[in-house]
Amino acid sequence: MKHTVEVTVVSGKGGTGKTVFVSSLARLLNDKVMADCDVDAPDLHLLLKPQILRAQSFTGGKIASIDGDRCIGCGQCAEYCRFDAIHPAAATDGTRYRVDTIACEGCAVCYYACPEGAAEMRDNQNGNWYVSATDFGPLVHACLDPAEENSGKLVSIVRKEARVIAERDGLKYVIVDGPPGIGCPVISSVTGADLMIIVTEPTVSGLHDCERVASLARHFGIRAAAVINKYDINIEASERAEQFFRSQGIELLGKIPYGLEVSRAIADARLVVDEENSPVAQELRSAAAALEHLLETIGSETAVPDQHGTADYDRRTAR
Amino acid sequence: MKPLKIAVASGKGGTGKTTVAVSLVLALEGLPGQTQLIDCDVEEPDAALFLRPDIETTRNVSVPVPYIDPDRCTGCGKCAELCQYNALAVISGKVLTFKNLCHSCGGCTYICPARAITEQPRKVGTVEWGAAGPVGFMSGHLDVGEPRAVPLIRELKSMMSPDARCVLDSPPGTACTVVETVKDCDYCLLVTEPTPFGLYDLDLMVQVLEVLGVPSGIVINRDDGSTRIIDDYASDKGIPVLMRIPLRREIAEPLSRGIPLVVADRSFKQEFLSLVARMESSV
Repeated sequence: MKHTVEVTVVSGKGGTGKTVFVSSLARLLNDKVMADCDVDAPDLHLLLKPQILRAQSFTGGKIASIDGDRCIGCGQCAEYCRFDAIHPAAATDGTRYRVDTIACEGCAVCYYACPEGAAEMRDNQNGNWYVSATDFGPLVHACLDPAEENSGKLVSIVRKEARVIAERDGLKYVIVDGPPGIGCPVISSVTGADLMIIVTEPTVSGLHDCERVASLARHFGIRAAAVINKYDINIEASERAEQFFRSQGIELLGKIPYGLEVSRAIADARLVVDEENSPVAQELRSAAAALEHLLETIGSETAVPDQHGTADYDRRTAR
Repeated sequence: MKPLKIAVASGKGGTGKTTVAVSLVLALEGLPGQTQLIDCDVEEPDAALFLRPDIETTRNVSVPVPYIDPDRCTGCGKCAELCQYNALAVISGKVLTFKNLCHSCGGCTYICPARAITEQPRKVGTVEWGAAGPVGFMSGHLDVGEPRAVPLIRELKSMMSPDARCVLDSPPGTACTVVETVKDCDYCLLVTEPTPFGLYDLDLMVQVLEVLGVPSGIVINRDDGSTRIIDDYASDKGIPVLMRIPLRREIAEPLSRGIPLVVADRSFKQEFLSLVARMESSV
C-alpha cells in the first residue's frame, strides 16, 4: 500500500504567509487532502471556499457545575480547586457556590471532593469541525468556540480525519496549515508528520521565531524544509536566514519576493498563485515544484518497508 | 484612578501586536508613574528584540507533577480514573505518568488511598525581568517541546505591579493562552489588518472579549485606504477605531531591523499618547 506523506506548514511567528503558501499548494499539488489546524484562528477556508459536506461538534473535555439544591455550602470544592474556578456566589438565588466556566479546566477535583455529590461534570462542547469539498480537493477544517480550551485535541481530530480521507481515496499527500507558536496546538500539528515546512520572513522577529520552531523540529526529530517570504524587504536578514537553514540541514524550497498583489488577491479571496506576470506567483510555483520533488523522495524512502513484509500484511488485511 | 492594564491582542498572527505594544510603552515613558511591558507570548517572545531591555534576573518556572512512590503504590488505579488529561495510566499494576499532559490539578495526590503520590516540580520554562530605561519589562520563554504555555503566563501576570501602567503583549489566536493574557485586563487593544483574514480573526477575538467582558478598541495596521471592511465591522459592533498605521515600506523596513515604530517615526508618539487618553477616558 502507498504511504501517504504528511506535511505541516508552520512559522513560529504569525502572519508570515503560511496560509498563502498552503493555498498555493492546494492549487499546484495533485492527489492531496488539506487540513487547517489553526483551529483558533482558521483562515484557509476564506481562500478555498469549501462546501461543507459533514459538520460535527467537538467535545474536548468536561466542565464543572454545582447543583444548588444539593450544595450545603461546605466550600470543599473551592478549597481543592487549583484553578481558582469556584467562588462563593451571591446568595440571592440560594446557590452558595458557582463555577467560573472560563477558569475551569475540567479536572474533576471538585466532583471528587464534594461530600454531597453536588459538583457535576458535564461534556463541554468546545467547537465544530468540518469535512468539505473544494475545487482543489477535500478540506478538513475546524473552529474552536470563543475563549475555549483543548485546541490541541481538536487539531488531532482534524489531522486524523485528513489521514482517513487520504487513505480512503488513495491520496499521496496530507497538507496541514499549522498554527503559529511552538506550544500545544503546534506540537499536536507536527508530531508524526513526515515534514515540517517553516515559512519565515527576514525580520528580527521572523528569524528569532523560526529558530525556535526549528529547534522544535529537532526536538521531535522531524525533517524540516523552509520558505523565506518577502525575502527582498531585508536582503541581509534573508541571507542570515539562509545561512541558518544551511547550518541546520534544512532545505530551502524557495524565496518569495514582496508583492502588493498578495494582499490584493487576499482582499478579493483569490489565489495569488493564479496571477499572471506576478513574480510572487512565479516563485511560489517554483517552491511548490521543489517541495513536490522533496516529497517524492520522502515518499519513496518511507515506502521502503513495503519490500520487507508490510506489503504482504496489507494484502492480507485487504482480503 | 488606578493605572490601566491594557492587553494587545489580534486573533490573527503577524498583524502588529508587538509593534503596537512596544511603541505604546515607549510613548508613555515621559508620563508620571511607572510603565511595564509584559510579553505574554511565551511561545515566541519578540518584544525584547525591539525594546532591548537590560535583563536583571531570570528564573525557572516549574509546575507540580505527580511522583509515584513504588513502595506504597498498590496499583488500584484510582488516580488514573480521576485524571481527566490521561497523564496517568495503570499498566499491569504499575502507574505510568505522562508528565507533559499533566495540568497540575493535584487530584491524584488527594485521591490516592495509599498516599503513594507526592508532587515534584517540573520545569516548563523561564521568566525574566529587567528594564529599558524607565520602562519595566517582563517576559517568559516556554521550553521547546513543552505544550502548556498557560502556567508561564499566569506566573508573569502574578509578577505585575498593581501600581504600574501595564501593557500585555498577547500571543496570537483566540484559545487558552489568549484568554489567560486578556482576562482581568481593563482594556484590550485589537490590532488588525484590513484583509478578510484580519477581519475574520478579529471577529473571533471580539467574541472572546464578549465572553470575558473586557472593553476594546481597534488599531488598523497596514492601512492602504483601499477598503473599509474593518471600519464597517467596527461601526456595526460599536467598537471604536482608535488608530491607523499606514501600509508603507518605510514603516516595514525599520521594523524588520528591530527598530520600534515610534523611534523610526517620532510623529507616531503623539498618536500613541492620544490612543492612551482615549482608552483611559472610556474605561
